[in-house]
Amino acid sequence: MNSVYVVIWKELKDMLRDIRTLAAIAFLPLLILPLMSLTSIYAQGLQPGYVALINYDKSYGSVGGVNMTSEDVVREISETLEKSGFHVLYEATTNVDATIIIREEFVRNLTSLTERARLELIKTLGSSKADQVESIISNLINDLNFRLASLKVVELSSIAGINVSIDSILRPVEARVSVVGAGGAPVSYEEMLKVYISRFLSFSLIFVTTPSTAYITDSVIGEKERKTLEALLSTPVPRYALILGKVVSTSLIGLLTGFTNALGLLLFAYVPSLVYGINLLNLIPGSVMLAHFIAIYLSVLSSLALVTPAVIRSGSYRAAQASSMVIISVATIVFFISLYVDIEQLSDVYKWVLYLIPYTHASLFIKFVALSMLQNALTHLVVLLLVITCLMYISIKLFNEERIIYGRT
Amino acid sequence: MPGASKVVSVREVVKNFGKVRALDKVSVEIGEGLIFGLIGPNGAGKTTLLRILATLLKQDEGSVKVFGYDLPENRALVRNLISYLPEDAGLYSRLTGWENLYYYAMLYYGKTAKALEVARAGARISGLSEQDLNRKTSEYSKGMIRRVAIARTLMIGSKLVILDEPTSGLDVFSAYAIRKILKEYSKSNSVTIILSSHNMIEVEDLCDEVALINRGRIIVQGSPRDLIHAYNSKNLEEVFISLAGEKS
Repeated sequence: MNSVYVVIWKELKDMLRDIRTLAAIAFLPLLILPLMSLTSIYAQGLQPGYVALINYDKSYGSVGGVNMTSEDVVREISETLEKSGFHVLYEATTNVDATIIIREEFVRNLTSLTERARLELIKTLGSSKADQVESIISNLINDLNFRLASLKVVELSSIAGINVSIDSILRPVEARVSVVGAGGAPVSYEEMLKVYISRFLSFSLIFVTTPSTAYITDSVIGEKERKTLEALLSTPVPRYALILGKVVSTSLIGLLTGFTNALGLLLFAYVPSLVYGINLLNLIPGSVMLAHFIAIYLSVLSSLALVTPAVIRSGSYRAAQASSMVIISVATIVFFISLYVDIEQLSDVYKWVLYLIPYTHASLFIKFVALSMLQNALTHLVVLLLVITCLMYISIKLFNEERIIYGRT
Repeated sequence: MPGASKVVSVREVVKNFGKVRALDKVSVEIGEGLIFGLIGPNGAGKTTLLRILATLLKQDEGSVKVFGYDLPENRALVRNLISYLPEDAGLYSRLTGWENLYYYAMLYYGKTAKALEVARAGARISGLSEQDLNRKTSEYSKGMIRRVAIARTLMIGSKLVILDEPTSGLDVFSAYAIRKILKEYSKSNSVTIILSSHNMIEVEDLCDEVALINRGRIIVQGSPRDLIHAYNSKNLEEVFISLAGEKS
């Protein structure tokens, strides 16, 4: 193990002194991701929105003892839009994000028991604000529908001379949702959130997979291109020590870069949560944080274990980076799947294929820690370590001096 | 007596790279304590032969023995007995000159007092000041890089040192300094040095024995003086041109 230490000694010195690369890979995400989050929140507020509201209706009506004019509807729409920061214009113009048209006889039809009122929304192509207008108007119409339907139910029941409940007519079905834990005991809303957060944490591992591959490529192919590899290979240092030393030192740098990347992503979600008055970090238990930290390191190691066999058989930097990119891209599919799918519940064929990818076990490890299913978590941790060990063994066996010296792209 | 026992014994070695035959039934024997020069044009097979001796390549045919150990079977053993400097070998540019020496010493001796002692010997061989050795090698001139690289190769104390084009691309003064280091080292330590070069004057000056290699074949082997005499030439360059011309 002395030889492994020697290789690590040199590699760490070499990598840590490359401050510019380290700063770019490790520390920029910490700055950029929260900044992206903040700018996306405030940039929306900075963009003014314009809506043209055209009223062709002069009618009026009454339902359930309530009198209405189209002016009431216009006022309600205007106030709602203005609360969301929109400027409302009351004339037809093309330079707006959306146009709302209240057709003739709108209020008469709205209060009628036989007709339907019509409101038109015309969105301007390419306007990001138009979708926001659609969402606001959709909510407003839902609200208006319920209020008008309630008034009509009151009026009809009065005509029929019967007692009715508005909810039993307009909302005859009520769904109640509750969540239970693994043992069948009910769990709180916070517990449920923790599981969602654990899925997000698993997904955040996607960002830790790539930086370390750049370092291992530089450590192996970089040595070849800087003409230091040949002399190194002629020394008595065992091949296992060379590969292990490079992978371990790269994984330590990868841990740093992976950690800052994952932290950057957490800040990306955390900053807006603070803006909206929720402290997401309070919802993440210490055990899940620890599991996430372990999973980051093991995901970094997994990435290195996956790409090292390809890197040591590549002839050039470009070839090594390209093959690493392909391998990591395919393997990271796991993180997308784990965001929406319970991998352990998939049919055997799919499940076992995914189990071959080390990231699957890192993702499931976090999930089971969040669910307090420690035995399952431990099983996936052990399997993950075994997969990494097997891949490292393959790298050592595949290492070939002649191939690496004369390797072509 | 130098040269009495054979440090390197190469017999009928063939090495192909695809359809290209880099070495074609090469046979050469190198005795103990000699500075042995391998000379020839670009693509003659010098680097391929040195890489085989340095345990980095496997021959396709023939036998190679270093200190009596067969290669490639005993690669791990032989690596402990040799030190090799490839052509244009670089240093780790973010490490200082001293750290480069210490790293190589540790590769052979681990993190021990012996490694520290060996690295100190390397520092002496390089002839660089303490101040220079404590600078990152990215700030070094080409000549300084080569001095540290040569020192790194010699300091190990191996009984066989293999140097591929140790002075190529260097100015006259740097090349002279390197030759001086090699001469002094080989005088004070009974080691065998195999070096390849294009530079016939350098080989004549340094080597006890030379082999002329062209198109993967050894054309002739002997001491520079004997060869010049035998081929009735003014210098080794003339011997080589006349022989390489005949064989091509």
